[in-house]
Amino acid sequence: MLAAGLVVLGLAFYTLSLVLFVLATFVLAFVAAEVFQFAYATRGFGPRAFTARRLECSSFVPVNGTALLAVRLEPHLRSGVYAEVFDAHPDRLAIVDGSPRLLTWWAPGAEKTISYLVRPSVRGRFEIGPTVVVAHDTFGFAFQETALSTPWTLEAIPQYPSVRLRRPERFPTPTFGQSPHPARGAGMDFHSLREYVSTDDPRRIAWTRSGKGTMFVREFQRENQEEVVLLLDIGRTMAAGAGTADTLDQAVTAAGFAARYAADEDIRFGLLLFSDRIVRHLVPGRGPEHEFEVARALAGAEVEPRESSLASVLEYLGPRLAFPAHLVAFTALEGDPEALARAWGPLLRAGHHLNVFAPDLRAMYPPLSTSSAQRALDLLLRPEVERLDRQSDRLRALGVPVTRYGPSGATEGLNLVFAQVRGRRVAG
Amino acid sequence: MNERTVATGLFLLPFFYVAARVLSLFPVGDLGVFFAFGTCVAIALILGLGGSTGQLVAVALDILLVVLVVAALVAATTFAGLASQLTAGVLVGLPFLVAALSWRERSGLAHRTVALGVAITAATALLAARASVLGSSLPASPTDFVQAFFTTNLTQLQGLGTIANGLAEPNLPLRAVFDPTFAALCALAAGGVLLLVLRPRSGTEEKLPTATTLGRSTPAPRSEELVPFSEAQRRAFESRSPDEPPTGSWPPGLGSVVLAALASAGFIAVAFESPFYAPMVVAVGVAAVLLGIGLLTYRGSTGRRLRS
Repeated sequence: MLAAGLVVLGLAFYTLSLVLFVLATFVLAFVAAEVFQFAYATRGFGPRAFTARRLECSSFVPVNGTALLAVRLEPHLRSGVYAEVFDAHPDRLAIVDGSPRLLTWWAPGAEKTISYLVRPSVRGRFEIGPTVVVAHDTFGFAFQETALSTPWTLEAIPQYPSVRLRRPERFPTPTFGQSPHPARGAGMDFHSLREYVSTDDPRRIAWTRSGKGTMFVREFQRENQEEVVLLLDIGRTMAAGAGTADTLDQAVTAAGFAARYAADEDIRFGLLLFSDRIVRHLVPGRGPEHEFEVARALAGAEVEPRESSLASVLEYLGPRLAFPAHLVAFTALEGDPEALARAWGPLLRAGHHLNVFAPDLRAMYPPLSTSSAQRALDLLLRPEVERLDRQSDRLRALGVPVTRYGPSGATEGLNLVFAQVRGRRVAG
Repeated sequence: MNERTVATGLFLLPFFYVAARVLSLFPVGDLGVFFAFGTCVAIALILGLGGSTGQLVAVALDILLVVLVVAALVAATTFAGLASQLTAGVLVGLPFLVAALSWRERSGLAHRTVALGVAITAATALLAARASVLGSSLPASPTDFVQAFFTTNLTQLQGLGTIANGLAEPNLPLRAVFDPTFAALCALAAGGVLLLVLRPRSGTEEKLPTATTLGRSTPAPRSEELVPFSEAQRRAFESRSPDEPPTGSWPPGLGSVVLAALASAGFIAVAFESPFYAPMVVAVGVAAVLLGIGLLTYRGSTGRRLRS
């Protein structure tokens, strides 16, 4: 607009026309007054000119559930301004209600609250914030912008139907984490009463429950010491595949299924996320809190741009496994095969079992439209595919079952694994 | 009648006035003049009054006019009269064509202000050419008018050069044609520009509250999505702020408009009191404004650098 005023002024000097001089004077005076008035109104504008705090935001939300995000801002400016306020959030959070944006007149001292409901369509940790305030003059000639630090993390957790994730006070939906069922099967727990038979140990007679002529004994259930530890590779090769159904996501889905299965079968379940280091280790356990932490760890599983090493994981786990464990590894089998064989030996001798699920890399990509493009993709994938084949053969030679999984997941293979676990429990 | 129609009408008023004065020079038989002028006006009105189908018609008319003028100029040896008539018509319609360019949907306040300035300049040149043609003893013809149009502009440039060289009493034909009616109508045209564009808006041309209907003046009904939330969360959601207009009695921006009007009145006073110094006063004022805005921008960018 200032440039427009100057152009008109130039035309005025060309024609020496009073009309154009008046027009130029009006435009330039108008712009100048507006800009100077805005500069005065926004003196001291910056992060310190606002107090910002989050309000009752949801921390956890099931995938496709609804979460609340809110931020309250109080200005310390001495004059009113027009302002555009925007709470930054990832695009993967769909806005369900409310708005993360406000375009309003902001009087001095007036609090403003941005509050909106979002729905994540995919799992993950979503960083919310900063909250950006753009103040501008009435006619859009000048603006000032500042970003207020209002960090918040929203975790979208996949919803596994029979996994009881109890954090009712932190979850917005009643279907998630508010199950009335108690945790089951802890140690030498009381199971039931039955009538006394002559072979029973008299120490188990329930004297308070027994009456004249009828004796009862207490029955206990034996603690199940079987453990399943799921090893989830989050190294760089696990990023293979298309969109949100890549190698890692299929593994996470399968891990969620395994967690559910373990909960249903009352098996102690552990989880270990690794690349070339141990990223997260949840020791085997049971109960709602443990299930919740497992689901949360799975939700936050993101590929790390590093090579992974299953061998170092096995070395790490060796001294930490208290009971014979069934290790289920979802991995791209990177690293030295000799080191893997050396690391597995002691665990095998200690009575542990290992099942490996390796991705079928070719199947992770949908067919391409042209045969030349498909050939190019196959050529690109060939080195990794051949490496995976070699690693799988070596592991099989060591007696470790290796199953390939593709876009349809690994449910069938996991069923077999849990059938083995159940079989050993029955035999034991 | 919507405000766009009123604004377009106000904007075009001074140029209709000038066109009426200039076209009265030519006999009705000079059909080329009236045809070219009519086409320019049609384009301006179609674009000015809006409408998506009108845009196509305006473009078609634009192309038709250009083709006609070019064809006439190429064949000038045979159809010299028609070429002059069309050129004269286009010159008279020039302010309308400029207006047409500035009245497209996406044009902002700056575009329209420049368009108004250019159109006023063209109209002033037309009035000067008319005065020049009327000054001669011969009856007016389109050829004479076209020639006079370019001659007056050339003379004006020479006059400005004379002033720049410090010589006195130059011939300035554009300055000599001050028409009070035209000046008054130009004020209305400026009002037309302001009427449509001078309203609260963001830098991205988004209308601000007071200029747009507020989306939610009363609390929204409870969303079904809120059922699973805690009471505190529901309260947080329902306490969200709506877009609000200014609450004071003095609308934001009005101060700047009043100040600009006062500055313009001051300039007019100086111009009538001392015409020679008035442009210099404007030049000094503009320099001061540019310096002030430059200082503000510099301070802002320095502050940001220091903070980062």
